[in-house]
Amino acid sequence: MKARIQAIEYYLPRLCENGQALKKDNPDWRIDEIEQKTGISTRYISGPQETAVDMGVLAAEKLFSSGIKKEDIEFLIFITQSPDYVLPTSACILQDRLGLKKSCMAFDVNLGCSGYVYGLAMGGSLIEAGLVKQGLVICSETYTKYIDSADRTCRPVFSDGAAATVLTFSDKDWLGPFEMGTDGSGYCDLIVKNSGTRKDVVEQHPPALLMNGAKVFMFTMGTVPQCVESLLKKSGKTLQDIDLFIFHQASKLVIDNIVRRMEIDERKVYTNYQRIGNTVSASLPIALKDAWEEKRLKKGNQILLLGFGVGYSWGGCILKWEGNL
Amino acid sequence: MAHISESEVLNLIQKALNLKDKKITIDSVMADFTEWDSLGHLGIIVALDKFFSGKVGGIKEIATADSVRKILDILKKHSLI
Repeated sequence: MKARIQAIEYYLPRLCENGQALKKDNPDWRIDEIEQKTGISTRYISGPQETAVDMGVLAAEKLFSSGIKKEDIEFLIFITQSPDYVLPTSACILQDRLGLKKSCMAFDVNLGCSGYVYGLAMGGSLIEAGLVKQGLVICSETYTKYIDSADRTCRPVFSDGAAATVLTFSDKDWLGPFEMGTDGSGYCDLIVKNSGTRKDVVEQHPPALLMNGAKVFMFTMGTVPQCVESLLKKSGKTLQDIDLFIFHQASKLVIDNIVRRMEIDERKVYTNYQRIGNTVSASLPIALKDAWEEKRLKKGNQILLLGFGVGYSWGGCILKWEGNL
Repeated sequence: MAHISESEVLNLIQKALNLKDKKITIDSVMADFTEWDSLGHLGIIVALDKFFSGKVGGIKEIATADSVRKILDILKKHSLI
């Protein structure tokens, strides 16, 4: 696609939680063993009154402070599964809060860990089709609000955060190919029941995130390698041609097993889950920004991005790195 | 591919769950051990997948096997033991 990532900024909430906080609430948890498996030592927790829209605003404002012009933004794709309201569309609230022009199209995308790649595909397509020249893809999640403090499956893993990406027209193909997929038969394996109009549960507990970790893990082990292979085939490349792999920062267990099963050179795999946690749709752009800041990317590098999870849904793409952010 | 006996599978599960003072037996079920929680089960899947050279990662029913017997039955069904 004739589009490129021009800039990324992200925001993490003030409260950073470590294993000691988990232990304080759950004295019976063996924190060392949990951390050894998840690889996650710190996670970020949004404030009680802090929402995905609030965090999206803070991430995007960093872009505008760094020279991106609000008047050039022609679309806003807001990716979240923790919207401020069921309706109206959170992207509409963001358009107003950010002071974007009224001719700016704005819509939400309800996708989780695959969401960023879908956002790049949709935004890139709008640009490629000539409808617009520049826009924002904002991923923002507050999954921790859905998690019970005693949930040993979800609490040690999920983290809150927001990332804002500027996509802009380019005369060269920097973005793609893409590979997406869906298997809705796994919808129950990562779900917040009673969160919409369907009442699955009679009890009136607050809606909580439920994850069948083993089933989601098996989905990942089967789907991710297939998606990588399809992407490589589409692009006419091999594993060796990819300079950096950035997978959704699910956990150490998940990423280590993808790397092991695919026999990827682990030096080519970027991770930051250790200090950021799993920020759902925001994990890929946050990792991409961190990889750039840590000088893991050079102009012309081929990067493979792959998000996977809730739905089940997955999306991967190869992007050629333009050389700055 | 590696060949393995039932008792060696039990050892693999024992190690994966990092059980020091307790013993996994053929009659053990998930509910018997606090260590055999969601993360513990992932550890078992990974240990088996590594031992069987990536062949367990494709067996979906291993995700819901909540006892040693069920795990052994699945491995037998797929001719891994």
